[in-house]
Amino acid sequence: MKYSVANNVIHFSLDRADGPQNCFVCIEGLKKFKNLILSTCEVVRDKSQGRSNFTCMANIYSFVKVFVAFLKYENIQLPSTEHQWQNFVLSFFNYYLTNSTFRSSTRSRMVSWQHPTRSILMELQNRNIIPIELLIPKIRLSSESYRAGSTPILKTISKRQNLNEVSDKILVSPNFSQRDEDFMKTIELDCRQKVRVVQEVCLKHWQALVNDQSFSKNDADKISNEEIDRIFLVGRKNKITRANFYKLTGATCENEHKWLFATIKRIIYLSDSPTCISSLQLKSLPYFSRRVFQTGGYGRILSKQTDMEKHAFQQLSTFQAVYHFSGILSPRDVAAICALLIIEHPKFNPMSLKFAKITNKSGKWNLHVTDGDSQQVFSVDKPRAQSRKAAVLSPLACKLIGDVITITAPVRELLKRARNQDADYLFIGMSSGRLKRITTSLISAFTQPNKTSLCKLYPELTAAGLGKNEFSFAKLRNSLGVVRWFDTGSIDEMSRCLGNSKRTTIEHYLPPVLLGMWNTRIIRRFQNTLIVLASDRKSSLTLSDFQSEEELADFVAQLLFEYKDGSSPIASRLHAALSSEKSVKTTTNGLINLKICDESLSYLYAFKDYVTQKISSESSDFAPDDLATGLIELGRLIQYACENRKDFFALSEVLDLNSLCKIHEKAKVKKVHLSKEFEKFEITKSF
Amino acid sequence: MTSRKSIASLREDDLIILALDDARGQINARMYGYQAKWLLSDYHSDVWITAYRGREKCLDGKWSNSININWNICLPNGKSLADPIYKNFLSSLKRSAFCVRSGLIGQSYSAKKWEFYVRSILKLVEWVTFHSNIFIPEKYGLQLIGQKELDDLFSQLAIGSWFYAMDVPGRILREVKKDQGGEKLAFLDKANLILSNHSAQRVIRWLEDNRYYKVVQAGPHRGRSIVDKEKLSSLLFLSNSCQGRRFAAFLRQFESDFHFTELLIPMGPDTEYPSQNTLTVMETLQSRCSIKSLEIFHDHLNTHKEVKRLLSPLHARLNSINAIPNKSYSRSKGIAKPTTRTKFIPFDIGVAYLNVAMEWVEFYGDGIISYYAEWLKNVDIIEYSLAGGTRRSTIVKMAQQRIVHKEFAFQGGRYPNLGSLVDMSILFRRGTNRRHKEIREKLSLGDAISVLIGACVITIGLLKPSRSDELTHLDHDCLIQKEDGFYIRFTLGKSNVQDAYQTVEKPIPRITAKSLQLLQKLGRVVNMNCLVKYRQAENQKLFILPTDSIGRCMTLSDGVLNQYIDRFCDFANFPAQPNGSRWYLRIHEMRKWFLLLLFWAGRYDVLEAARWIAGHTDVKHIHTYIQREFPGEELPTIEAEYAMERLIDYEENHILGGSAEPGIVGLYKNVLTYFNAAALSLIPKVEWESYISELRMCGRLVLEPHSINALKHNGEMSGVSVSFILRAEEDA
Repeated sequence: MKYSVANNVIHFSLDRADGPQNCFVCIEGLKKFKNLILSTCEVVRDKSQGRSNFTCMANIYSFVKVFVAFLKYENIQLPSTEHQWQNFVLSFFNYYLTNSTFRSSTRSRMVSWQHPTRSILMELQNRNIIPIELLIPKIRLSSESYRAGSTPILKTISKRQNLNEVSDKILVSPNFSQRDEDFMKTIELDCRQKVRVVQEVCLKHWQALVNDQSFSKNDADKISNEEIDRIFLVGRKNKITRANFYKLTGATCENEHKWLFATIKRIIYLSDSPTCISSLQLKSLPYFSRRVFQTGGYGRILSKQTDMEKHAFQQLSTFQAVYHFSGILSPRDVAAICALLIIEHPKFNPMSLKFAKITNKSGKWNLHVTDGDSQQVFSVDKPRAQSRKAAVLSPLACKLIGDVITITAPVRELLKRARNQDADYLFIGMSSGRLKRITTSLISAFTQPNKTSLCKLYPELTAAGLGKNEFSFAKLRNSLGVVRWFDTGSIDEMSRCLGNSKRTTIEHYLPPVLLGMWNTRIIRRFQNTLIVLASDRKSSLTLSDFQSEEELADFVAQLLFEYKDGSSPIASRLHAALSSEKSVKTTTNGLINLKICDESLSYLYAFKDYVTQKISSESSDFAPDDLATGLIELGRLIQYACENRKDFFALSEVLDLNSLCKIHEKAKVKKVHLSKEFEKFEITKSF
Repeated sequence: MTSRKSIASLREDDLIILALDDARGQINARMYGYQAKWLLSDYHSDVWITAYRGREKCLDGKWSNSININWNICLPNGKSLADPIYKNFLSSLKRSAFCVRSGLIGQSYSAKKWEFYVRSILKLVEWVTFHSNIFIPEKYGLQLIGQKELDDLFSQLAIGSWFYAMDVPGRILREVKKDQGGEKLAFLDKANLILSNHSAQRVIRWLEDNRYYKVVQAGPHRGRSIVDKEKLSSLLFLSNSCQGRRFAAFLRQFESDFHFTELLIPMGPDTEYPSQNTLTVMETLQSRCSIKSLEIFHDHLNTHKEVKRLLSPLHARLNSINAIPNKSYSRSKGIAKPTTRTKFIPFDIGVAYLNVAMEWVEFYGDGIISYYAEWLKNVDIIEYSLAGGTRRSTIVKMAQQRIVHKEFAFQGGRYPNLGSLVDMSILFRRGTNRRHKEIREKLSLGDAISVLIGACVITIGLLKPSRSDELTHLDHDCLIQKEDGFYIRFTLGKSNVQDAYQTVEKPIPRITAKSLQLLQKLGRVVNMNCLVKYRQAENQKLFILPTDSIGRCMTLSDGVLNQYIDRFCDFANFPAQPNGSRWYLRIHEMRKWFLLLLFWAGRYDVLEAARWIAGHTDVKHIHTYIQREFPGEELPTIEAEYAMERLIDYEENHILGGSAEPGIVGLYKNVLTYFNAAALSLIPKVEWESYISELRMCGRLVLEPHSINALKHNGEMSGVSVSFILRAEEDA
């Protein structure tokens, strides 16, 4: 790193493969601090020796810039006594944590105070530039080792109810009661499905934009520049009326949009004012009747030409429709592209994309992604990351960015002519009546229901649970992380790693989001285990988190499977609870109480005969399942018992053979008829 | 959503303020003399009132919830530390205390930790003045404490804590001899501090003559006479640290009214039976000081030695201890006993309490609180507060008659109607002589509320491991509902930076959410019916509880929380244990119960979840905790089983390439070499499994979990891994 001072500006320059990176710090009006600042620069330079460009920039941004800003702040005097110096350091510390000039969170400020700021100040002490006796305040931060809670993903949100009604049976979807594999699969499917919907919709939207733009370009090209210039010239000399204009151009209602596109294109080409095609300007132009810009108008004509879905296009206002065709980006379009780019490259954050800059050098597209995220203090070009990111751009992302650059080229030229810095940004378009970089919120352009947001244009987004408060770019990125994890690590592997069922290994390397969900699930399951164990059978459904008997029963069954008897007090207790049920059954000597009437018995017999016959005839292909086999056995048993009463003498009382035989006789009669009906059944394998 | 955000940012503001205050404090001490934001009173005053996590409050010029240090302690020689002869000594002590709290020694001390430090040093000062003929503290401060003296102090502390170190029994006996003359009183058993019968009679006579007995006024032991400890202590100039349970146990041999039981029954809490933690008199007298408290004491001495470099030469001289505390500590460690652990609640007791608590919360909670609210609504608080005793009860009675009898019955015929459980006509039962049995048979509404609060605390504590501090100071809006269920938000009791603590959210089941909600509702009712003077700030604390007097309310301290649990446990009325004690749940016991059962049931698969719910930062901590606290002998078996499962898994899945933890590879090879086999599957399963068990039992195989926090690819990855460490044979 080098630095030089000239004209009250410190110029830091960093050598990089593709030319120096510059950073300027203005020190105007800081004459009295000149020595201090110069020695500070020296320390920063020495500290940056041999460090990566990133570190160097961090030193400049998190120390030099803040320090200079502090010196400029409210007439600070150069301290002389130790006492004053101490106050000076303290107020710098104060400024560092609380100033509103630099956007960054308290935590990151605290981190960057510890390093590099504090270490640079201590170096200044070592060099006797500030008194060595000074105490430089120290901050220590400790935190829980992960914060899964702060990384939400796109998942289905069940409808919330008012908190005041906890007593009502619950709001909570206790998806923790699912089995391990199901739980993970639900998350995976949910994530994948949502990402897919976002991708499809955004791609559709973007494709329509590209197609419509090329359509309008073709249309506009049909009219030569000379022709338009001629009209402009006429218009400048004498007021033209709409009728005159039609005479001059020969435009009819059907082909007027050609003239519209050509005019807009030409205006952008010639003008150097960012407001040249604002709605006000367009309305005031003499070439088109005002009527057509009101409701309907061009919208109706253009809706025949558009590639967008009709219902979506019809929601655009006339101007929005015109801009859409003319290739002037709206925040909505940018939101769609950003979503697509994030899906391709989850490492891009939406803020850095929104404020991405392009520099067009030697035919290469360079993407300067900046950390404009409100979470971080400075916007730093990441020089190292930049080259890598450009290298790994996926084909789709490359195409997208290429398209954006092509489409925005005319506007970019205009901004360059206007010497507007926004020309460097990737996303420029129409925002609050001006041609400039898109600064409005992308998330509201995506989800806001009362604007012409993507969600409003494409109701399938809201239907898929991606509406307001449900979708955010951060969630999208986290979900992609989860999906990617599911892609790379196989589900079997994962369920084996995590599964309670196999109890093998806990070496799981999970994205924090998933681990957080997993931990929550374990804790919730255990809490409910305790509740189920503590409460008696009748109240356990009311007291636990479950909504139905089935869920509860399923949960208990899972627990019995998971916990081996005797392995822990909980397991023993669980099994004890179950075996008490068993003992209730065994007191009835393992017999089932069946309520039998002649009707039911006849069906049973008919079924038994039918199936046994089927098995014998189509032996190889047909195999009855457990339930069927059980029923057949039961039928056989009853039939045998009734027909061989002597053998069953011992059981005659238990079975109540007398009445059973009566029913048996009746059933046999009915069976004959039923069997005929059964014959009509067919088993098709296609089921 | 918005409220969540604003709170999150508020915490951030707190953090900034703390950081700035702290920095200012560090610098102020040096620049402007001894002032700090945490010091609420004057530096030179005898009692320091200091801030405590922003919970301190000033009402009518009096501070509450603050941490106070009284410098004007009474010394064993009858003088006080504020006396002019100790002027220099005291000011040196104050300075060192100030420097430590301000974080000038580099270590950051939380308010509580600092308080313990100051108290330790004050105890040392007492000890020095007790031996003032040797140490001459008014002149030399702590300077004359040499290695030998410190060693002695530590070993006496190890035997019987400060009670022993300050020779309290000896001093009592000397007083007796001084008054009565005659021969020296002798211990029958020196180690247990038991007097011979004859000597004991002499002491009893002395106590009677000087009227050192008093009669218990309330509680289950009403009417019995005990030694008036306060009076006796003031005679001997005993400080609080000498008046602990050992003091009570020593005096018990002179209290014939209590010789019916061996347990050292405490007079304080109003429970039906002594608690599970009650020791017998002999156990108390024989019990040694715990290693942990010695360790803390020696830590404090080290801090005190360190702080002297920040003081002026005079003060540094008075504060210098010419001995190495570490040496004394390690020499005395052998005498002390291992630190006592929180007891493990027997599974069935925990589950039984949980059941009753849940039923109360679910079926009675709403009814009790709505009835209470309805009642209070009809009381004119101002009239009530101005009225006298009889008038007051009339007002309450009248109010009850005005209650519109709505449906206060409950779902499910299975549960007794609230009316049959609670006597709805009595708000608070007066009179101190209350038998637990009577209370149980017909609860007054006030009693029912107490039981309900206890039930709520138990459903929270048993289902979400908490520290008592975390529960006591819950915020009013600590209950959060997210898409997948309820969460509780609280400030972590540990992992702090000085006094900046983290706020976290952890999952809770619905029944716990319901308890929180009941407490919120109760708090609102109580607060609304409070005189303006006593009203708590809106939505500040979860626990705003009723007092016996309408129009007032109270917030919680740790002890009070336990009283509610005690009431609940007495109400639940599970049979007493054979030694005549009952299990009264404690917050930390419940925490342990949950965590150990969780691990016990889920083994190593839930280790990470256990860490997370316990609020530890590293999985190692929770594993150490489990190893230390695990009840019974099963832990090595569990660990050996886990090792076996991992070995099988390794052979099946990882042996052909793939990364594996090096420890498991080592273990695998070790097993193969031992049996001289090529694969595990070739060795009979029983044989190698018993070999592993043996390795684990004799301590040659150690399991050590780690937390993994690595930045891989483009995202943070996190997880847990368990290392297997094989020790060489000679190490074991």
